[in-house]
Amino acid sequence: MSIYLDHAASTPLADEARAAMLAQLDGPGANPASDHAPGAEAATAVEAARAQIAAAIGAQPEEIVFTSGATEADNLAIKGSLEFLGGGHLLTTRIEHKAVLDAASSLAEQGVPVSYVEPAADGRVRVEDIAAALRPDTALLSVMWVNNETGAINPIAEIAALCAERGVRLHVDAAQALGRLPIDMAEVPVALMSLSAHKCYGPKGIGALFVRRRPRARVTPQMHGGGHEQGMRSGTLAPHQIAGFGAAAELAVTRREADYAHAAGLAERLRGGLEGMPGLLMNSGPAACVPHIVNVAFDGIHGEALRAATAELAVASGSACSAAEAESSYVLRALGRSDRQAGAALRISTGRDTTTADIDRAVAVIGAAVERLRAIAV
Amino acid sequence: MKAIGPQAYSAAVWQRFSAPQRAGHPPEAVSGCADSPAHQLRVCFHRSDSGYCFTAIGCPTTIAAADYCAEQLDAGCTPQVGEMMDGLEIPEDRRHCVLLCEDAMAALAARIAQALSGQDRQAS
Repeated sequence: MSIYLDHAASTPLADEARAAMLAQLDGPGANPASDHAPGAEAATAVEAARAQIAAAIGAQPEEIVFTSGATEADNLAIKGSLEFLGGGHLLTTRIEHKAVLDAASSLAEQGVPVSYVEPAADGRVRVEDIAAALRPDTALLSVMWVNNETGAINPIAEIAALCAERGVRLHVDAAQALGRLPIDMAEVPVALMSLSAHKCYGPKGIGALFVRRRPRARVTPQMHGGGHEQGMRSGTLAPHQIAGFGAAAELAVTRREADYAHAAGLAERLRGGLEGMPGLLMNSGPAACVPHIVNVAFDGIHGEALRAATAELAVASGSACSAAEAESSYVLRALGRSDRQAGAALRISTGRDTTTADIDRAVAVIGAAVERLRAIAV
Repeated sequence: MKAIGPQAYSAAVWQRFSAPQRAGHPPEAVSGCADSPAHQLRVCFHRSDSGYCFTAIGCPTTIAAADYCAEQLDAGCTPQVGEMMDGLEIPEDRRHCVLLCEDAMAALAARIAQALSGQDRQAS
């Protein structure tokens, strides 16, 4: 039986989200775009969820555009912005999710000038580094709120203020931030923000892009066929997914402080248990990172062996050794870790259901594995 | 994709990875090593009066192959790549782990030959 410590990858479905989904799945299954009564009922459920999600981030309901997840939201924000704005320079960072980096690479192949800001040693991006990298022709800056590997929290309020001052559109990937940090779009001048349901105890397969109304941040649609979602994202809406997302978002805000305190307690216990293990490298500092993600690496052992020896733990890990999968984490390498150190990393991410006993067991399993593998090591 | 753990490896690899019999590095040993920077692997074989043993920074397949090699060297045999692949049921995409062990065995043989030739010179 695995101990699930991979909540940064995906969270279990909250009871409230499941109930909201079942209410839709058990209904007539009408298309919310249909103009008959069952269609209108489905549309009502969709709009209720849209309002819940908007309220969770201090936005207006009409600023929420549903997508299939944060990856699609990132693509719509980045490609849709550059297309709408007629090109320009794209600035992003080395530690973004692949959804952003691959979208940026795709644009670079089409001739869009793209550049990348390096993170500081604590894993965060510095405002002054972004200020230095902005160019007169910069059309869009894309920065994640919380890094999915290390948990590093970027200073989004300061970055947003800088972008407002320079007249640069800002996109924020907040997939790891919703339900973990306070988010208020009424206070922070972000133009576009990507959200994911399954990172905050909602269902997989649904996300959203916040698209600011005032000042208006327009994007060119990347999906065509019906003009849904104010023409920004065509495709029949999935009321059960959306209702689940709405319930999860509302719950995430209600529980945010309690969840944060729970995660902070577990993180302290985990750090204390790991402290003193030979070769330990901390990739997540408590002052710079959200508490539900603790990323550690161990010097002098191979990542795949570490994962195999800790197979009882469902955690995210570094590289595999197979011919096709030898690349280690680009995020950890951007922080200055060697390939081997980045490969021997474990991302331990806790959730509402994680117990102190889970943490104690994880510490014991990791400690035994490190001791055994370092005894074999050269 | 198989979950990492026993199910991702053959029984022979998992057994040797979980409990290698010839891991160690006697201080007086002659050693030969090989590296694979691309896969962050390193294997060393050591020859001492008590026989052959190994040390490794490696994945389970590399550790199992190194343990097998040290066992065979102790038995007076130099294992071949194909034999190791078949005997430990190692898939083709892990061939580099076995080739690394082959390189490390060759390095040890060269070091032993070098040491012997040094002894010969001292004797003469």
